[in-house]
Amino acid sequence: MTPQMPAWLDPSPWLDGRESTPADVERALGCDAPGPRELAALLSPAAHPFMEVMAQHARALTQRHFGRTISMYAPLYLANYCTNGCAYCGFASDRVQPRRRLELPEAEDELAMLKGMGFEEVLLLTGERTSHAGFDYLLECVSLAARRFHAVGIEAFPMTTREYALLAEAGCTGVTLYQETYDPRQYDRLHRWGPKKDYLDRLDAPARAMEAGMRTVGLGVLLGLSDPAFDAICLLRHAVHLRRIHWKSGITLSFPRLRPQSGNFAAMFPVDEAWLAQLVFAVRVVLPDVPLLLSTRERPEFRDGMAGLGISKMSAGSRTSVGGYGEAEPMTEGQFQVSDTRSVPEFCSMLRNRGLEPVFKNWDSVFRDAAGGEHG
Amino acid sequence: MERQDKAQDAWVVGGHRFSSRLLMGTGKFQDAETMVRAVLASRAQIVTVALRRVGRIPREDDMLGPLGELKGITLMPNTSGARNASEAIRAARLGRELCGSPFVKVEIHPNPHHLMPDPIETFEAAKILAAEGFVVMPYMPADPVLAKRLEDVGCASLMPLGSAIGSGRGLATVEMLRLILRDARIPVIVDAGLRSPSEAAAALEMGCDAVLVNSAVAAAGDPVAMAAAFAQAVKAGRDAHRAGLMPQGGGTALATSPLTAFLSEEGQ
Amino acid sequence: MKLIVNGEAYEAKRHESVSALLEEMGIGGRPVVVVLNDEVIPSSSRSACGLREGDCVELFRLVGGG
Repeated sequence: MTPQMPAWLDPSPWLDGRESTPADVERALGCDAPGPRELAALLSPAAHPFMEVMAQHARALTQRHFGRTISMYAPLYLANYCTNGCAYCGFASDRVQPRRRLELPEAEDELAMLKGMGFEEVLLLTGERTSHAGFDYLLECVSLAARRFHAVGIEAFPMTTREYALLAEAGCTGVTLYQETYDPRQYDRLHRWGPKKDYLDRLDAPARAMEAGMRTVGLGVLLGLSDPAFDAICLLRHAVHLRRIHWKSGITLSFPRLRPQSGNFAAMFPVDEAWLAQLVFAVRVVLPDVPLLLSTRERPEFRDGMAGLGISKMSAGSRTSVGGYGEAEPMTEGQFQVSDTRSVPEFCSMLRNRGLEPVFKNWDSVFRDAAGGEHG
Repeated sequence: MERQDKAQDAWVVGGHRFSSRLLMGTGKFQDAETMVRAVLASRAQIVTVALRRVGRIPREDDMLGPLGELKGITLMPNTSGARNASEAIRAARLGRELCGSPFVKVEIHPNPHHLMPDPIETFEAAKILAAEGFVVMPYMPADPVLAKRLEDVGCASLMPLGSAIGSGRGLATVEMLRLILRDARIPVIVDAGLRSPSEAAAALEMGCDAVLVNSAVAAAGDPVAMAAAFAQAVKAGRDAHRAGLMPQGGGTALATSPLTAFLSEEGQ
Repeated sequence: MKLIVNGEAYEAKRHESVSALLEEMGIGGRPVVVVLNDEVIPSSSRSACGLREGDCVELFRLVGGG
């Protein structure tokens, strides 16, 4: 059954924005309080001649809120067990590939490698909740990571508020959970089986994480799965909705594009680099103070161009396979193909050449309550 | 949006629907007749009143008798004179008894000179009164965090100040008001500090749901005419907001592309 | 009967009810709220509510305010 979109998320009043005129685009760029209407105009074909202006706006706003800096983070894949049937994912349960999880000493080694590369923020990833890599395992990994890293994010499966609170107590500072696509029909079609089929449970999970006191929550859509303008408006509305209610937590947004992966799923709505750039510029205009992320899914030339142009946070030197940092030849396949394979020093020197300072640590966790939780 | 009714352009506070976006205070007028005529000219549907002890000698300066007979006007007692939360709570309960309305403008200003609201006592009073079922409309500093705090404890609206009471300095807090508006889930009413109708229009243009004025009308050369002028300004500001302002410093299409040249090199 | 009205001593001639006291004070028909010993007396109970020696009565009315 196709799930019903809640009213606060429904993008339909703004979908006609794809027929915007150049005047609508100008109005959107000069608007004091831009919202979904302005986003729709900035994503429309009428905005194509404005790309350079949008880039200038995006750069000015990014500099104003984040300075001439790029925050750095690294993903760490803990396990690739999964029971979901996401048609587009290399970890889907019907993909034939070796499954493994990092045992705690192995995770410790990988964390040490990342620390050695200079990282202070790590994002721990798993697949769906399984007996191999369930909540307790993740909790142990978070505790382990929190001893070395000031910022520990997880990108795993939707949890209960109680579970999020336990993770926060153990030192987890962020939860990343992409809806993948907000289009309920596409969502239902692409998530062929598994717990992830529950659209509304996934949609509600970021709010639960915030309620549990998580410092930041990362939202995103996987570009290529459905109409990107539809998903972009929903992403904005989701962020605005959360910001209004859970105002003590921060939000970050990511713009992953579908990459070649085991399973060879072809994007049904391919998004090219120009469109991705337009999306990032447009989102920066409507959300001037939200960190926008770009991963190593994208090729170096594109990443270099986008750094500071809306994008304020990037990964580098990433491995997307389990145990990928310690092994010369990974034993498992990555979740997706890394496109920017430069080392961290190479990437940082590129940033510095462009007048941007890579920032590995923005704050320290010394102020956290002794109990580990946040004040109510 | 839950705080607005699009078709009628009415706004809703605490489950009550209003079409006028101008709220009037009834203090500081030279006489009751002028006050009543000004309220009528303003077309306000919510007017604030204060509570005082009855003097030993009955006075004939009953400002509010005539107002009570006007149809379609909601009396909103304020808690002026309260210096802390418990005094404000007491004043609110008495006001509810007298006005028969659940509305209360919580205002607590311990300093008698600048009359700036006490954020801590205001928060405490609002929390308790909202739990008692009042429609709590707190007069507050234009502080976006306090705004969320007050919203979280069940206030029906936010009434941030434009500038200090009676100062006539207009929307001195405009940037903070923008942040409050951005995340508010309940109506935002600019209260205090306005001097001219153009400032009221500016508040509505930027998306405030309503404004409350008192001194600007009561102390104007012709209070009744000024009330009418504010009514028109508020209407104009609201209409402008709905119409969508023209861009300022927006963009024009550029032929050169120093920042986006990298996009044409896509090597897919 | 000696009462305290709005913080001051008051010698009431009529004290069989709150309503009678208001009449005596010349504010019978006026919109006021009555607080008797820290308790609000709703207008519907004023004629039934008697007064006792030393009772503390506070009377409030609405005035203009912003």
